[in-house]
Amino acid sequence: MVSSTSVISLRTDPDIVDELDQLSELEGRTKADEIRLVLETGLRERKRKVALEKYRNREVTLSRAAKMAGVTIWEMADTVNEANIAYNLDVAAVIKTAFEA
Amino acid sequence: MEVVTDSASLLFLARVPKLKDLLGLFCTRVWVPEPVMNEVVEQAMTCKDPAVQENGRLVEVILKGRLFEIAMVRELQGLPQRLGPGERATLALALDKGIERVLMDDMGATRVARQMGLEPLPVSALPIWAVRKGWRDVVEEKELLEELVVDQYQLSSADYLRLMAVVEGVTGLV
Repeated sequence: MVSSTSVISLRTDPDIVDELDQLSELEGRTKADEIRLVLETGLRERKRKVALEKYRNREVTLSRAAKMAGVTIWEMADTVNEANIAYNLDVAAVIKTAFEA
Repeated sequence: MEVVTDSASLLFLARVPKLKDLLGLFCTRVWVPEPVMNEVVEQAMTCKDPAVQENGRLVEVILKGRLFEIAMVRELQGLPQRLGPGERATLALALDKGIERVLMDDMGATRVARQMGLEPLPVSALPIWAVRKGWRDVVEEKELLEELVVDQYQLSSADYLRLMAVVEGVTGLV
């Protein structure tokens, strides 16, 4: 039978471990469950931040940023608006099209 | 005129409803690649956020209009990584169907479209077109354009002024 989970090991600051112990006790979870939760939420947040930075730097489109962040294009558009990042509008295309009419 | 739309354009059509009416003035058919439908409607419907679900439902209703047609498309290889699944499908469908115009206005996507011999049609050009053709009132379209470029695009001051200066010269909109 194939396991649906993978094992990772890492070294970290003892203070982090203490904080995890305190949090898991506070929440009534095992330390392993707490770490999984922290990883999941942290990963989600990191993906969103990386996508937002790529979008801010004009390296990706809104659609691609949403895909990278693992959110819908609607959520990504809201995230971009909340971060006060201007849409990467092709102003030249608007102008060119306007003159064509 | 027939066009193929990307996802961001549908997003703006939903958030600025008058744009849809303008689109109907210019286009006889708006093709929607299935991956765009997936991105804007289906993914929204399965999102936990009720506001996002509502957006998805709104676009689903819009796409039931006679102007729109959803189409399957095969994946196009070799496109730049900066494009999302919606834009990739938009370009692929336009090439498949021999449609020159693509409804998109993200600079990253429009550049690729031009390289492929396609002609991007930005939704923000629609109000300007409508005024130039005498189909729409200047004051009303100015409000629409402002809503789009200020509230939705959140353009930089420089881009906003650049756009408005041109619009003023072309249409007297400003």
